[in-house]
Amino acid sequence: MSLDNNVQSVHSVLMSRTISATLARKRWSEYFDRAVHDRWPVLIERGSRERGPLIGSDELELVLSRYEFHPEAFFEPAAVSIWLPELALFGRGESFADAQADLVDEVRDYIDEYVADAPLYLRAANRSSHFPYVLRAFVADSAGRLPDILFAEPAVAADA
Amino acid sequence: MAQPRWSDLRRFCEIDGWEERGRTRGGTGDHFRYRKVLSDGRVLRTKASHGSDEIGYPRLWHHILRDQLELDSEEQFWDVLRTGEPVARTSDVAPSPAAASIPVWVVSSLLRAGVPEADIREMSAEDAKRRLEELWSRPPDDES
Repeated sequence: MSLDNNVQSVHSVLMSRTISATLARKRWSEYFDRAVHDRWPVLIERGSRERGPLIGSDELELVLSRYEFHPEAFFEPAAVSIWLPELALFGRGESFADAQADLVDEVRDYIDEYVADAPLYLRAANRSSHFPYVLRAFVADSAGRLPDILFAEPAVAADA
Repeated sequence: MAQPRWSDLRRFCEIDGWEERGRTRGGTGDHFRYRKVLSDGRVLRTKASHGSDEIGYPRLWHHILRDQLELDSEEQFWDVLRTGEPVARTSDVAPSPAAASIPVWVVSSLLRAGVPEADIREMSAEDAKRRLEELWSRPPDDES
């Protein structure tokens, strides 16, 4: 019996390791509930080689929570800069708050650029390691929490 | 060696063949943004303020040189401006300067505790952390 069969039981659907894209389309609501409400990812497969997970945003944030940011502030006589080592970005302004706001804008700009040019950035030796941090920032920003994760006290101190 | 200015950084990007980019969410803000894709696939990005002020803090300048422009030394930067020729890059990394920065969470915590930003500007990283520890070690009824 094929996984595409409409009479497949809910139990067997929930226990499947991967779900075909065809079946995922037909029973989208069921799989979305499984990923978001039941909090377990669904692996969707198209053909024999293309796979993509459907995962709740809370679980994705949990997976990414280990990718912490360690911004550093530099105070000059008339300006403040904040360097974000994980993404090699800086924000700058007349005050600390201005520099934070500028860095938030800068990170959003970088997320957009990374998403728009993902094949280029994921191939680049100096950009591919940014991916989990970009993804974490992207997920946090969609929930309105980007400043919170950028400027939180890290659980693990930065390398000296 | 001369103190670099934002206008020097903009000129460097022009000579070195960087692409000037607008912001993806519209406008350019207070900065010019540049990107360069190297032949080995690395993607370089930087930004420069509109004015001609000096890039004041040495450690920020070091990060721009090492982590954004990916240069081996500051001399390479000035050579580009002097000769008008693009830089030849290698993967060597410039040594880190001794100057220290202050973790942002420490700055935020001090500000929340009522320490004026002007006072924080005068602190080293060690001073800032020590001050924060002092504030945190005070009894709750001794907030002044």
